[in-house]
Amino acid sequence: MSSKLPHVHIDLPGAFVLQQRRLERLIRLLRPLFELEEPARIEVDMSRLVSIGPTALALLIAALRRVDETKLIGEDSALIPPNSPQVKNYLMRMNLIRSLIGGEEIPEPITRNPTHGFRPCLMFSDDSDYWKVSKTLAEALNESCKTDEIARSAVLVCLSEVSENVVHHAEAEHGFGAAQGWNKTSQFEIGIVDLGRGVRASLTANPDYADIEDDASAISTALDARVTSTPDRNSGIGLYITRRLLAANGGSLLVRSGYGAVYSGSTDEVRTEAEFMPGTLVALRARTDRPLDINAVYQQLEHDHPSPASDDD
Amino acid sequence: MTTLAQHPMTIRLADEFGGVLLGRGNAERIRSRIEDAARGTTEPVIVDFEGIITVSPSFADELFAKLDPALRNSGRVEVRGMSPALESIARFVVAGRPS
Repeated sequence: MSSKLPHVHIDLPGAFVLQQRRLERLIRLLRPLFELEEPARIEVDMSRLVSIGPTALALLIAALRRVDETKLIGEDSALIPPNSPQVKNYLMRMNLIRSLIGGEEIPEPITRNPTHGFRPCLMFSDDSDYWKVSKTLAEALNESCKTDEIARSAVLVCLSEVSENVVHHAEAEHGFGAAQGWNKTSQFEIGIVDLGRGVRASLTANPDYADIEDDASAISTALDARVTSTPDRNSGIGLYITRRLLAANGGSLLVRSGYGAVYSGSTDEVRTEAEFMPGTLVALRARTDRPLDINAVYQQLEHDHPSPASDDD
Repeated sequence: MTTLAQHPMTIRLADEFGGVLLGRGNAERIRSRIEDAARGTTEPVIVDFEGIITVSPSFADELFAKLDPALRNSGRVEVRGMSPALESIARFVVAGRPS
């Protein structure tokens, strides 16, 4: 018996990693899920999936979780698993399935080994859990990457700042965070994704920024110091500090929201993309073979932003 | 031999919260505690940062920049043991919220 629901087929072939164009491809392929308003028979075909990075995975889980929570997943919907056993195991261990069934224990065709150096994609919803998620993901990176105490502290600070932004600004039900380290290339990546109102809608709630007309400008502005939608509560320096920290390290920061994308790394790039990204995606990539020192960034702040008081000294 | 008791109003942050201080909510609770203690005594409340590696910007903003200016300026809250980096971020966030 065939379902009378509309059919949404999403094919996810190839690799979805941080390189921006590949994330753009994922955003484009997930568009039917983002735009879905009525229940549908959803088929997500991952059979030809070759690899997926933590940021892309957080985005995929966020998209699937939303259609699940809003009861848009109709009868006979299906996730077609990757043909590659390695990729399939990775997705299971990253909680792709569990995230759709509320974290229940289910029979799995995998062995969940001790979590050393590995944590699944994690969801957070409010002030009480975003920093716990930050600590958990930072712990995983600490276990999998050769980093010093200063770098570990910096990772923790960045994670907490970016995820706190989701709770305070996104008006999203949830944020999703995933992280992965690669010792061979001395790098790690952290992705924080929400499907909330996005940077521009948040920032223009502050009358000082109400005239920002496009998403890319909104993101660029939000990356400056002391820019926030809620100046009474927030200080607007978390993303700014994160960007400076990663720049000093030789890493990169990508913020993608609406049609806007700002890439801050060895070169800075501000783009208006063809695809709409609901909410905000923040991807941090850093090197573990170079200093990642947030205290050095703090010490540079007053030099770069002298206050009137220090001018008088 | 007489030993001096530790100051009763000393809050040793590293002992209670670990070496990295995160989160606006956590800072808000600590700030309330400091303000309540400072208002309830004529002695200075000492906030000891010894052992703190770093703090998040939001933590710094909530703790330093939103601390009651009357208490901050009266000397009833005394901050000790901060590294130059922490002093820098503390001044930066306070400068961002002119009272």
